[in-house]
Amino acid sequence: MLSDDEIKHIEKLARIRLDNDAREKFKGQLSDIIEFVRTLQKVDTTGFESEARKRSFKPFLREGRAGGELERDKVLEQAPDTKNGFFKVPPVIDKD
Amino acid sequence: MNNSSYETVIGLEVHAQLLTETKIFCSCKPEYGADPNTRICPVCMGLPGALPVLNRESVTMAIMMGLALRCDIAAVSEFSRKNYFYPDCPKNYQISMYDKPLCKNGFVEIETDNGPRNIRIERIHLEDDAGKMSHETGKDSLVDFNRCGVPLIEIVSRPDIRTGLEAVKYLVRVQQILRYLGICDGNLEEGSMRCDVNISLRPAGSTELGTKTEIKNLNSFKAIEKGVEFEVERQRRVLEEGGSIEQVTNLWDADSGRLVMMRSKEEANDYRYFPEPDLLPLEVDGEWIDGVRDMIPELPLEKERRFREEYMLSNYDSGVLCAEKGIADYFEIVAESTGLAKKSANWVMREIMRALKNLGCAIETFPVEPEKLAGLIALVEDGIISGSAGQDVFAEMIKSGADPKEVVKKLGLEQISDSSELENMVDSIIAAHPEEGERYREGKKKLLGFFVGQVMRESRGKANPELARNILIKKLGS
Ligand SMILES: [Zn+2]
Repeated sequence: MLSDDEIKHIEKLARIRLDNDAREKFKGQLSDIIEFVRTLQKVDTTGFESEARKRSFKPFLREGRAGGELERDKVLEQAPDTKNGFFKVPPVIDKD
Repeated sequence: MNNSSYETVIGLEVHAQLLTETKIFCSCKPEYGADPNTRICPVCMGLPGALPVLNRESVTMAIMMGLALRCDIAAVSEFSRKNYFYPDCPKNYQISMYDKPLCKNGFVEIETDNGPRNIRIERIHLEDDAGKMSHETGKDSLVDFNRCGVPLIEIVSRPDIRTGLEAVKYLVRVQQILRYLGICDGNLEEGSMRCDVNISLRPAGSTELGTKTEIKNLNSFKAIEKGVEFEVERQRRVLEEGGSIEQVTNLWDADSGRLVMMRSKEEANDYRYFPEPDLLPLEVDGEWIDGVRDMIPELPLEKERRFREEYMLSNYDSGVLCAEKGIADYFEIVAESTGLAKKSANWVMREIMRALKNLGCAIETFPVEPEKLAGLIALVEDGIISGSAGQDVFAEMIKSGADPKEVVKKLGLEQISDSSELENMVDSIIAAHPEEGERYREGKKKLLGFFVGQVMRESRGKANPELARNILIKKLGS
């Protein structure tokens, strides 16, 4: 079972805030998912190669031909707030 | 406690923007200084449904750097998602390489007081850049997404660096190599090359690493050297007072010359890396690597070595000439056509570099072509013009880009090396100064300089001074 601190950490990472009821509910659901994966991990896979990212063909690579930029007005239309061609967001200082 | 009781351990992370035609995962054209938000598309904006396609050129450039730093190139590497929320990143994740980087285990050689030393490279990987924020204190922040998706290589060193000065030497080398390869313009102020520094102290002789702190936002070599010194001193004081180092990230504030704490470990991000599901693993075969190897020019260190051997130049001269590939190439053309390496080196290091600084231009657009400079040096060496006339001719060549011989003719600067003409001139000068001649003959030999000066004045600087001297000695008698 996930701890309350772990749930709070996940809330923080996902930028959401849960009330106590919701926290209890998701604690159960998230723990179930982790339990499910834990069960899968018990299967003995020695001798099998991982197929999660099996390469069946060479990846397609792009040659550099410029173009396809969007019109700025159209892009900014989607934003809640703009200023002089910039997206405007609440003040932030802390940077990863 | 004395200064030698702790050893400083420094590791560097360098981010270099690659000069590709298009961004790493889309066809937008990167352009520094473009109007905000005019170089963006659904892919680099992370709009729903848009899919990244890797740019071949960015991989080629990353392999170039890997080979230049003697790394192993991975046959298969993989992109991962590094998840974080910040307004400069519209996808909410950076596409980077995590456990399977493209290049591993290289080194960069630097000069130290104790001779050359290798700084090991842990890895070089590809990733996409984030957008650019501008902050106004207390007001809203503004975001420009043009930089989103510009290809970066991150070059991670091992903790082999011991001082701020060594850090700078390492970075200068890395910058030089990036520029020689033509894959990054290496501009710290504009941010096309960025540097984060990890610093820790440990008791001298210990092999364990102490707790490290990180400094970001170092946008000049001076800031890097000062920032490192500042943080080393701070850590030393804490340790000497019996305290312990907290794992923090600091921002360098260039205005105040101080470090500002940005984030402590408790708030450290949890990036939840996982394999990027929208991209297949990157396969690089031997043919590709060999092709890239052929594209790598002679690198600065090899060039410096060759200049010392081939042209018999000093460490200092070859270092200055090879700092920029364009300058080194220019010098070589001059040296080859004059056959006078040291003279050519002096001209390039003094006159050319001073002129470049004054004009604020690059060697590639400098108006005097190397062949013409060689012509000028030859005119001075052959005694056709005097050394000081050479300076005048050079100044005129910078203005007009003209051939030195034409300039000499135009300015009437040809040196008088015809002895009969000079002899006549000397005769009349001696006749005009009988008193000085008398004193010279009485032993005041220093007056020879006075007579040479008179000849130079009479000839308006065009007399060959060596020839004038000899004629004067002969005619003044003893
Ligand atoms: Zn784009």
